[in-house]
Amino acid sequence: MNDDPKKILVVDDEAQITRVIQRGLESAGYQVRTANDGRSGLESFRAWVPDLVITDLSMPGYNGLELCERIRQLSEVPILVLSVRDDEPTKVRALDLGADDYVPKPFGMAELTARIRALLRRSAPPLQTDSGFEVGDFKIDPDQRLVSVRGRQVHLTPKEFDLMRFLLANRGKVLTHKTILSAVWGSNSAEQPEYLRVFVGALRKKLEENPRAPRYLKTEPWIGYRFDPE
Amino acid sequence: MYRMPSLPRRLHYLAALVALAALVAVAHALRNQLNQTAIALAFVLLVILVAVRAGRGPAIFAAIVAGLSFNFFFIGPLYSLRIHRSEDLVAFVVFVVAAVLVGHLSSRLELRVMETEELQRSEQLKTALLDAVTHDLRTPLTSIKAAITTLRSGSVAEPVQRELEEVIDQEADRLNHFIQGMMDLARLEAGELSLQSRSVTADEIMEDALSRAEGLLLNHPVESSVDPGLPRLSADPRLISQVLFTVIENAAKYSPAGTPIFVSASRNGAGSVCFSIADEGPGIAPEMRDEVFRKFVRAGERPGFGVGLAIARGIVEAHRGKIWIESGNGGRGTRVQFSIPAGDAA
Repeated sequence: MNDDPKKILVVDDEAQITRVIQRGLESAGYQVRTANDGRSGLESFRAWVPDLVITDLSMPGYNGLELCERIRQLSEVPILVLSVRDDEPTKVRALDLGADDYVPKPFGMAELTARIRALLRRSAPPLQTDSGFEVGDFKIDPDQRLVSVRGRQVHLTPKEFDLMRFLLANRGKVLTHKTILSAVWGSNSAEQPEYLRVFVGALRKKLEENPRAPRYLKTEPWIGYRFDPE
Repeated sequence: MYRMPSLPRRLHYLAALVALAALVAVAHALRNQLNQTAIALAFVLLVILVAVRAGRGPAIFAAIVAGLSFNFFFIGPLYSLRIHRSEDLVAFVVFVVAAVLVGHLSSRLELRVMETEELQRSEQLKTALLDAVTHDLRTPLTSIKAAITTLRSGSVAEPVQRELEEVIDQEADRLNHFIQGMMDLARLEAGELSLQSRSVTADEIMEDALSRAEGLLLNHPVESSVDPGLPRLSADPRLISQVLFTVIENAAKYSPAGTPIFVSASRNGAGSVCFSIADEGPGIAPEMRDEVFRKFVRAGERPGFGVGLAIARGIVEAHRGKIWIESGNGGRGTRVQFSIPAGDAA
């Protein structure tokens, strides 16, 4: 990490919060710049091209949601959203607009840095092998449409395979019901989370050792799912 | 709990009577085109309207008068209260009972609707307050928690350690001031705010408020000035400093990062000192400049409790001072001013 410190942009209108996050992340070996509103956040993003963006949602003028949207038009950089309220609709909107994960305030630095590491890992390319690629405990062969978990081959239906491939491509990220449904089933199905629940249940039975306490395919209450292949 | 329409009660009875008279006139004019049932239904409809608009008493009154009018004008023998045919008697009794019942039920329904609306409004207010309290408490808690967990990770250089400790200290004070503000508000509302007045200078108050606001002013250059030779104030220093702090906090919160905030104290006429805080934010529309001093009213879209200025006004008025809002320098932004009488006026 010290050879090539990753660059993180922190955007929050609360000066004390950006100050503490900056010091905390610098101590953890990251390079940090801060901005106090969406507009200057976007300017810094353009000028500095960070590896990850952390942004608050409610800011004066041009808020975190707009910032997510603008950044997504420019780049696939991981975006982590900080939210002060337990406001599920706002989180879902942020995630639908392109945020990758969220951390509710107040948070411990250990949790924040763990989420940052997970997001930065995701942006690293998967390991290519002769018969497809490997990510964590999973091996996937797109041509043969085969998946194996820790060496055990799993038989998936075509739709389950599509869902699996989408989850692997977006590992570590919080995915809203709507995002998954539109990507795998098309935008007409975006409002049918119960449909997705059936497929997730089936996939868990095949992938997880204990489908009731899933290790890989986790539920984010009221929001959607997160797939962690390790 | 519920609110009736604003007419006085006696006028409700009068209005019901006038409406009934009008209905009798119309129905009487059209009596050859209308059968008895249609006329009876029109009366029942009127009773329902009275019940919904004016409540139970006027509705029952209207039902009885409607029954008598119906009998007098439309049941034979006409223009007398006597009823000859037994079926007309049954019709009359059924009409009066139905009208009274319907009036009674509709007025109860209307009460329920009003109670439900009232409940919804208070629920909405509660949710908004809870959101705001959550924000005002969680923001400093976030800084504190992030700072402590960084310190505990053990990989922190000495100067950073000191800086984080300072943040914890300032943010703990901010939480405490928030709670103090809530208590001041409760005392103001109960009329129990007691002033711990002593002789104090404008300088002391400025210094205290600005040093407390230091953490909030990291993104704003501050230009402060105190005119020389200002008279001393007899005031509660903690409360006046709280007023100044609240207004500075608002200026920092609502104006864009990097824009300056001007804080000054000057002589205001003969016997008072005027504090003035100007920012270069979006400003407050003239029609909102009184409103924002009311509890739970906020001019901007920023999260917050909406009581800061209400408390500020309470404190200033308890000192027999005044607080008001103007446009900022050159007509841009906001300037909040408050004056406190000099000497032993408090």
